[in-house]
Amino acid sequence: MIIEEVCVQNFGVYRGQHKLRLEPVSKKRPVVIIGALNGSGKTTLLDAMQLALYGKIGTYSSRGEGGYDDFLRRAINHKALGHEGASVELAFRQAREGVEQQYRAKRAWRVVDGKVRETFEILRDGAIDPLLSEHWYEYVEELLPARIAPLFFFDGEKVVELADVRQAPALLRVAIQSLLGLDIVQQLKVDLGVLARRKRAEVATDKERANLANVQRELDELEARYEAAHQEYASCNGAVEQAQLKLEHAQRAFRDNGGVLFEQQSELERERAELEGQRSKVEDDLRDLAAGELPLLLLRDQIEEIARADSVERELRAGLALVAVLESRDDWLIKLAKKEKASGAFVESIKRALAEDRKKRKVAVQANVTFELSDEARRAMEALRLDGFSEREKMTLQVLREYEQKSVAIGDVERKLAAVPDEESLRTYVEAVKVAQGRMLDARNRAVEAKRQLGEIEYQRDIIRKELAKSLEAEVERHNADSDAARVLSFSSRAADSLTRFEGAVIRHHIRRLEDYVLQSLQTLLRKDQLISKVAIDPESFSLTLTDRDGQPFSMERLSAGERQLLAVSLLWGLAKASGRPMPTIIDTPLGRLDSEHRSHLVDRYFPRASHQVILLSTDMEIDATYYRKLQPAVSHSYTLTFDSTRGSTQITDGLPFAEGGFA
Amino acid sequence: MSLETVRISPQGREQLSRLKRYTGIEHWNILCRWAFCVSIAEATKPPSTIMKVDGGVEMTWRTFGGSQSELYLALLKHRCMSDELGLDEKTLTEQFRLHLHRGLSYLAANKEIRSIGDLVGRACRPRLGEGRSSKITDATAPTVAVTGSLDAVQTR
Repeated sequence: MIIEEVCVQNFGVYRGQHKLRLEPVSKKRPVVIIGALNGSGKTTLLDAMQLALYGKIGTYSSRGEGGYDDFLRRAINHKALGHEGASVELAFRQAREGVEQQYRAKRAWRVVDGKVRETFEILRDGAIDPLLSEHWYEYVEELLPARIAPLFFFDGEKVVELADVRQAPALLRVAIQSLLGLDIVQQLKVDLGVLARRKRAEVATDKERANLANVQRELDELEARYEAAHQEYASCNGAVEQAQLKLEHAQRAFRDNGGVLFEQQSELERERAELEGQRSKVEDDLRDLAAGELPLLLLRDQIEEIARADSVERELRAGLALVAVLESRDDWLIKLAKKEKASGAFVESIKRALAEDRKKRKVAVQANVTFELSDEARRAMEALRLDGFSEREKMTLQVLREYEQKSVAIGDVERKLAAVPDEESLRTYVEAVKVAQGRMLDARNRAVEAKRQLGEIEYQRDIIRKELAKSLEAEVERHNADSDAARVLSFSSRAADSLTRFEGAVIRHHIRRLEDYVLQSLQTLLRKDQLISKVAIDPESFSLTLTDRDGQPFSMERLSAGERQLLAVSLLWGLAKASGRPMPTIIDTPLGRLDSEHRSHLVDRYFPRASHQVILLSTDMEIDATYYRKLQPAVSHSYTLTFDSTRGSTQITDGLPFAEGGFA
Repeated sequence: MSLETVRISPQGREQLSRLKRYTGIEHWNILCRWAFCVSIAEATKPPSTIMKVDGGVEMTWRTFGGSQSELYLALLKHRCMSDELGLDEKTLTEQFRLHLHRGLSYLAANKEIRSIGDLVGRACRPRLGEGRSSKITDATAPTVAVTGSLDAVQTR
């Protein structure tokens, strides 16, 4: 891969658009120098290149705390206008399947409504490749994985760290693992550990098992209580039946001994009084009748005879009246006869005859008159007869019947009343009934209570049953999960083992090669090529061991600080070679901490050979005119970054202060 | 011919008292009518008895007979005629006295009349020929004399 150019717009200290061409002019001159003072934006350039490629997944010097969005937001130049955003672009060439293609990665972002909106697109051979843009992370992972980038794009600090004997092994481990792609293996192991931990936590604890046992125990207890309660209830019911029987018995005894009558006594008495009252009225009616002509009913025949006699008498009386009339007529007749000069004898004879006749009639009458009823009496008698004795009789019979009915009814009542037992004799029965009723009530109450309790226990039992069922279900699930977890645990530990072994094997396999590359680089840099004969990297601890030409271990302490830094650079160089990828090397502050002797080593032996493209971001304290002269044969071209405070932006100018601009 | 005064012996008075108690009939004249009628209805002749009248009670014929006074007299005469006795005042008086007292004896006799019903019943059922037997034809009713005592129940 060769970087062609990098463009930044409103990025960091770069207000507006700025471009740097980075492609070396020839193979013999791979070095591009970008000189700047600190704070002018040289680190920012390094960030820009990585940002263009890696976006979210990259590591940046100015990333700091906070998320990626915040990083982007802060990266926008302060003087940029609100609507303007920032962007970074990296153009590079890369061979793919034997064909070299030109790529341009453009990453731009703006703040819209307080949110950062980022866009990314990739151009391949000048045309936007949307598919590649979408799957960029996968491609870049193939090209140069983010984890390996630090081997090629690094700063002086990193060198210092690697030079530190204490820190080196850890850094080396990370670097080697990244290089070999073993960081994924490492991540897998970590994840397995997490999984195992989680599974272990899921395994049922004894506490839970104990809980289940408790629930079971509780249920057993409740079942027993339920049984007992059921028994109790059944027996209470039995008691109720018993009490019921006893009560009926007592009630019957009470009844049989006239209890009912006793209770009815007042009722009976009232009835009797009423009936007597009614009868009394009827009696009054009877008395009224008796005071009338009723007794005469006994003498119907006699009265008939009297009536007959009376009519005879009336006739006779009429006859008597006739005699009186005859008498006066006879007188008249005699007078008439005398007047007519009838003979005295004739007159006498008529007189005698008439008198006799009258006498006869009179006697007849006198002999037969007995009753001599007045008209009034006759009328009264007629009224009696004509009214009809039978009528009177009928009516009387009716009243009499009524009288007798009442009497019978009263008799019934009185018989009942007579059968009423006295209170004393009943008392025992009444008591017995009361007691039986009391017992009955008690028995009922107890039965109700027993039922209620039974219901309660049943309710509780059902709840516990459900709980147990659920717990058992959960237990089964847990059991399954446990065996599942057990399996996972077993397999995960096995997998971890395998991974470790795999890792070890891979490392061991590759480390030899690495050791060779590092030794090569070290010997080149130290120039004391005879000094170190062997570099060994422990595949497990990643600690470095050096062997001198006599085969004796060469302690790192014997190296000076500068030498140790060179060793660090060798490591990086070796790693880069071991990666098998032809990548540009970009170094920020390459010489910062080195003394002049070692700086020379780097300038002479490392920078020109590090890679086919070497970009150095250097301060004026590092590559000065002297070093520049040394380096100059390998330099393609250079730039200077200058921060212009009035414009609030860094300016890029060709060349270095001590070198002509443009391309040498 | 008429009778002026009705005289009742002390014994009769006693009987009247009793009857009044039993039947509840206040007025003795009504009871006397009943006694008289009962006796007249009886075919046999009342035996002559010597009767004290002192300490007894008296009432006028009019009081005795009420609105049917003449009829009662007629009934007396009729009975005397039937018995082939004279109709003179003495005979009538005596006969009346005898009948009245006989009637009272009948009525006041033991257990003869104990209530107004018994009395009235006499008027209605002498033809039935039974004295105190079943006064109602209802078969379900117990045959009981309405005397208010349980003894009667047992006799039937």
